[in-house]
Amino acid sequence: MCQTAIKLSEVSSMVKKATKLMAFMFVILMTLVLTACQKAPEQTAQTPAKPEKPEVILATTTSTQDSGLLDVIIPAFEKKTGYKIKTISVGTGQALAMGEKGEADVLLVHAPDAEKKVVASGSAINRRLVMHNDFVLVGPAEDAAKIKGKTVGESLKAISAASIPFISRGDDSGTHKLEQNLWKVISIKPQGTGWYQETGAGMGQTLKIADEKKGYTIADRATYLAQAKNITLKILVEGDAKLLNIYHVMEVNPEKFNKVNKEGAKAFADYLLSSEGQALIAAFGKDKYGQALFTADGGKTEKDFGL
Amino acid sequence: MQPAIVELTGVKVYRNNRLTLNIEHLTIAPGELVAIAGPNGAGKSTLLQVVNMLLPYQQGTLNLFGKAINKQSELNIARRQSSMMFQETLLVNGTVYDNVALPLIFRKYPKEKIRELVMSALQTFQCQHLAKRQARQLSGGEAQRVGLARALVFQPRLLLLDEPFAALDTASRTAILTDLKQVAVQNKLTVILISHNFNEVLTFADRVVVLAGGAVIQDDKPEVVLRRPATREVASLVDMDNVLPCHMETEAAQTIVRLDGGVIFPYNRSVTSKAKACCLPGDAIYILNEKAPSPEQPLVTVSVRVAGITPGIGTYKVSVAVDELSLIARVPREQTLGLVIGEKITIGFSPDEVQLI
Amino acid sequence: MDNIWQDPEILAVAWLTIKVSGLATGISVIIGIPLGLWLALNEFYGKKFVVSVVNFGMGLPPVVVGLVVSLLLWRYGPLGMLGIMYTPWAMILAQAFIASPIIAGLSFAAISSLNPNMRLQLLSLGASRWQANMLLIREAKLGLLAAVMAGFGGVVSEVGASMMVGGNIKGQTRVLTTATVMEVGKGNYDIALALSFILLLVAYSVVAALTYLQNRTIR
Repeated sequence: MCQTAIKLSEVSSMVKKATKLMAFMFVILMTLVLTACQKAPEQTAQTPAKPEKPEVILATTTSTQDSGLLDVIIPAFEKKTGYKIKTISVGTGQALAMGEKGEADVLLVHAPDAEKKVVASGSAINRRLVMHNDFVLVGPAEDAAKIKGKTVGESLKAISAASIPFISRGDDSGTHKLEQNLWKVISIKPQGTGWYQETGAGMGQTLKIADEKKGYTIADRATYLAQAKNITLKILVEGDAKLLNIYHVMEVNPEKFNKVNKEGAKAFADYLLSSEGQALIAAFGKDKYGQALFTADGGKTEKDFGL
Repeated sequence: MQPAIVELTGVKVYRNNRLTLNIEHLTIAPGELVAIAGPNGAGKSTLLQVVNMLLPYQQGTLNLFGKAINKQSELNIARRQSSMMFQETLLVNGTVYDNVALPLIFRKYPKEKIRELVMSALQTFQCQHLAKRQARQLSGGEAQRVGLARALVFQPRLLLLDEPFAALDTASRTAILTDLKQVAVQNKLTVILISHNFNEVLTFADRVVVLAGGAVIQDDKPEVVLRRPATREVASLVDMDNVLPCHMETEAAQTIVRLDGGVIFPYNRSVTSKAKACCLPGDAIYILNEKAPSPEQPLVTVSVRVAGITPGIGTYKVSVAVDELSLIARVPREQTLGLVIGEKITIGFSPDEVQLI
Repeated sequence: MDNIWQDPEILAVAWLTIKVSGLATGISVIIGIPLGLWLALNEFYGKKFVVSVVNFGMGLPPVVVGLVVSLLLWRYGPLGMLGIMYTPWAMILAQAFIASPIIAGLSFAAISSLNPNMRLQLLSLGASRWQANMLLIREAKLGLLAAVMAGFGGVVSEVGASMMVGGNIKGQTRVLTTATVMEVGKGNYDIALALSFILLLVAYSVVAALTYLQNRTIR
């Protein structure tokens, strides 16, 4: 994955406005697509029959929400089907816990090991791969540990050996779980050392902290790109297979929890994997960053990634 | 005959398992100006609050305006005919007019009637110039006048006062009481006034009820209580000049009283129980000399030495002593001219003026 | 930066903040002031205990309230059939739980500080119990308005409970406090500052209005 130059001159509020403008444009686009077959010019959109149970609770993670993807997908889905999505973006642990208690209808998370446990316990069904993005190992431009271009395993070893500050999310999020796995694989236990710091904060904030402390950290590409103009950290390691961040969608098991909106959950999950949804996913980010933030993988499984 | 305004029979009030009020029988007739006196904690405020139905009683009956008070509706009717004032100035935020109008607003009088009654009440107590003033800005005396106007604006038949003028200076107090007495007499208003100040009682009331420990210990005209207190407590309440320890003997159906200093005299008034002390008002003691004419009655005479002279208006207080006996005499000013401290004089008093307690 | 003020989404978030906290405070006033009045005017066995419970409620951590209300409102919780989890009504409920003890406790203090004979005086002048209580409330206006300000301030500024029961859903339950925390989490400190400023503005306007009301009684 190659980097393209990102303009750093825009004020954050204008960026936010631009994202909203894009979302708005996508909605208009979808509306136009939907009305293509309509004859009457007055009608704006075909209003679908309102479903019996319109409210669907989607439990997802803060990084998924913060990437802005859902601000595009959800309005499109709502317009098409008449469902109303309540997005609850919390930590990965809480999102999965909601699923296990039947307090959500559909889950969109990126912590494969934990997800499998939830499916095994019978709380979730229909686990399907939706998309992936990747993590990048970022750090100060000076790169005191000289990790640029190395593999992720070698980089972490180098950072540990040089005792350069490494900032971890430390909050059991999908990002954090992935990071912990990486340390485990190279048999290093960084907890308790002075240079390894756990923030317990969100991704964007963690990036800012790493920037302040001139340390290294692992971030998902989308959040990094969103923050890039505000920080001096640079992408030093990317593309390693171990840095893949894979998203699955799961429906909460209606047989186990009878209050679950099973039609709504299925509709949303299906939409994510529909050609329309996948197209939205594949296009997201191009306008703002010049590159797509996610890769749509509908139909694939983890085996396709060698996992 | 008009029924009594207030009648209590066998009323008992308990607070924290203590008997704080125990009234065997108390009747107050319409138009009476009654003072309630007594030491602190005697139950005076309790009595007033029971009469105003602000405090429940555990035993006995209370009749107000001729009716026994049992039901809530009767209570409301009775309450509307009585009025009460406390020691603190309890005016609400607002103008004097707003305050005095309150009882009429509670009773939902029409606006014009309110105006008429309020201005008339203010005028009665000479506060009409204060009508638009903020209640907070009044002086103590002005505030209590306004309080009185408010208490009487709806023309109640019974007024209960819990030492409302205690915090005022003597001049203001006397002035308000004079005005109040005039209003009361004019309107045949029954007033029950709690007071610590016996002078106030003397100027204002026709009758004084002395309470101690929750019970009535004396109920009589103020002059009588003043000169013949029933107990030591009442004696100290009326500021009796001379309270002397004494020894009572009975000799052949004649009671003999023995005081310190060798004073002995026969006592002819009725005696209820073994008295340990006796009272003698200061103005019942005369200085006997060639100048003053001695009064007719047989006097007990004592030779004493002058110990001190305290001036006053009209009468001077002369303290005299012999051996362990000290007395205070109140004599006209002329009789003290030429008196010197340490001088030996003879004083006399009539045994009838002595009150055994 | 000045685009923030015209941003309809931010205005919607501010308006929702006012509606939710305003309504919650209103409900708390209806519960809290009569409760404080009743406590101040009545003696009964165990009064000290009840007052201590109310005072404890004043210091109740909002996040604990949020957790408890969540447990009640979750689908499989006892009140799940109401279906109000993740809606503004859940936030209003949680905030009312937070503000009511504050308003009750401070009202109790305000009315207790009035002269105890004042009530007797009003009754003896012919007031009904209702008329007397209304006048007492007017007399204690200063303290009572302070109680309302404290209650409003407490809920408009809290984030834990609102986040938990509301979910910070865009366009539905996002208020200024939860939006600020979200922006901080994303690292957008400047947007967070702008939102904080708006929150301070909202809080100040309401408190200024109440203070004006409070001062009208003192002339």
